[in-house]
Amino acid sequence: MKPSSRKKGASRRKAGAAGTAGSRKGARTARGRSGKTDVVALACKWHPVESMENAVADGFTLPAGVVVLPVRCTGGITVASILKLFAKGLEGVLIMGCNEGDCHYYNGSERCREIIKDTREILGWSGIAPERLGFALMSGSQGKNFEEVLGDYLKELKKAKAGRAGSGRRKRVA
Amino acid sequence: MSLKAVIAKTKAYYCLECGICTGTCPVSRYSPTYSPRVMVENALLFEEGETLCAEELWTCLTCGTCNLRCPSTVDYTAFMAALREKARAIGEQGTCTHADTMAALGALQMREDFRKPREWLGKGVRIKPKGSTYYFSGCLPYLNVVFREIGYEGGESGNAAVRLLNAAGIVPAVSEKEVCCGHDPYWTGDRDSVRYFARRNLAAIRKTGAKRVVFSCPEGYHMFKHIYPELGIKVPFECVHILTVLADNLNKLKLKPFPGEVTYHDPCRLVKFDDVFEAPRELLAAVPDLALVEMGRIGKDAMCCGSSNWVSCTRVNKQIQVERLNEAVDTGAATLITSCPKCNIHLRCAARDEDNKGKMEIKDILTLLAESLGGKKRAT
Repeated sequence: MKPSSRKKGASRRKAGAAGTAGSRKGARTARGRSGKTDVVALACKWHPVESMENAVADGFTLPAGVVVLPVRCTGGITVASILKLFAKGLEGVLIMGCNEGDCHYYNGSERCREIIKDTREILGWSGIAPERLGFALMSGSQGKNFEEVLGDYLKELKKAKAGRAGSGRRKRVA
Repeated sequence: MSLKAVIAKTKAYYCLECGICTGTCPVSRYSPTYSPRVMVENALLFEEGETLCAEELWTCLTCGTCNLRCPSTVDYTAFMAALREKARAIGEQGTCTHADTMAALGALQMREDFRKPREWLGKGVRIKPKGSTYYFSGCLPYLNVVFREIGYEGGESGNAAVRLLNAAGIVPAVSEKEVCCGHDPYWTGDRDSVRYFARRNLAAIRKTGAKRVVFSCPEGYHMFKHIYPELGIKVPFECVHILTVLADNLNKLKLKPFPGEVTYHDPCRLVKFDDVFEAPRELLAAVPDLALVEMGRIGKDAMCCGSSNWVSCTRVNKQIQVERLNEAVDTGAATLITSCPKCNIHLRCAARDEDNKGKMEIKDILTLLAESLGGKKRAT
């Protein structure tokens, strides 16, 4: 999929609608309409989305079941918004932010790190492996960044799904 | 239920507009626009939409003070709960607090694979998967995470609860499958969720083979004892509050001295709805060297901690919290004891203010009792 600016806007709206309702049908991925959304990636619209666009320009396609939702800044993501995504029955949620120091709004990534820490602990106490919530910071200069982060996360997720969920305290992540 | 049926069921038509409810309501004291009797009057005289879309609908703390004082015995809290259910059906909602985290947690617990690992109870506890007594902990482990920044440790009081039960010779069963008791969904008008939670909780407890369920949170106790049966869900267990159990087994506890003066805050759910008044006082009296100084308003006259159900935390709620905190400070005691996690959180929040900093330490009664465990003599 080669995104033109108009097309990108359209897919963004679609993805937003699917994501907020968390609906399983009509989620738009790079392969078109897939049956089920397993993973929602909340990507900051500055670096991560730019990186995704670079990756797509290089011929990368999103795996089926993965939906990318651009957000204004990862600093605006709350514990509740992540928990609500999990409540819809998703397998995993990946948060992608800009490198610390590159944040367009000064300290969004640092704020998000705190939120992720709390959310992972809550997930641990809910029988959901904390690794299912991914968090990665990246630069937008290369498409490779996005590909790598997503690939690593999906591998992690596969492992987490296989094992029994641990407690939050043991799996506390900085 | 139609609005007419709600009025008939709660006997709202008996309202004489005497104004005693407004006089006793903690919200009305600080919010001149809110009055319980005006809510009843609106429901009786005006169109349905006007009542259901009013912002005041969500300001009520459902503390139950007006219920106790009303000379016409109008069940105002039930009236409020029914109105909120109707309001929710047309898409109205209260203002969420704590960035909606608690509501999201409720939603998360509806996942089929939801499981609360037993490890959160911490060290030094004896529990078993099956047994005649079940310990229901509710949302304590999550409160631990969400309110860590104000220094609240929910896990501690869960750990304390089980250690105290152990000391009283009870090894409780704990299930990983229990979910939210549904208190907050019920009081914000979401009864379908309550029915769902009730079904899952009862199934989880039934599996442990328990005959008796012990609660450490007044809200879970209130739900199991009153609201589930009211919604037509049969609870086939004996429901007891942990303070009552401990007070009955007081001679088995060996308590160390805890020098100092404390004061005790009565949670609304525990004392106004369930009459657990003597038990905490008996327990505090059993701790050597501890002096209990009572506040002006205790028991059924006690004031609400200021907010409830995780909705609507405004200037008004803050003023109520601060009023209650100052009442405690005026007793001269150094520590304020509560037995409800929410009262603990709300009073802690008030005690964090610049004006009230360092005036009062807030402590859970179970934490205090567990800390003083390990004495030589048996309590009498």
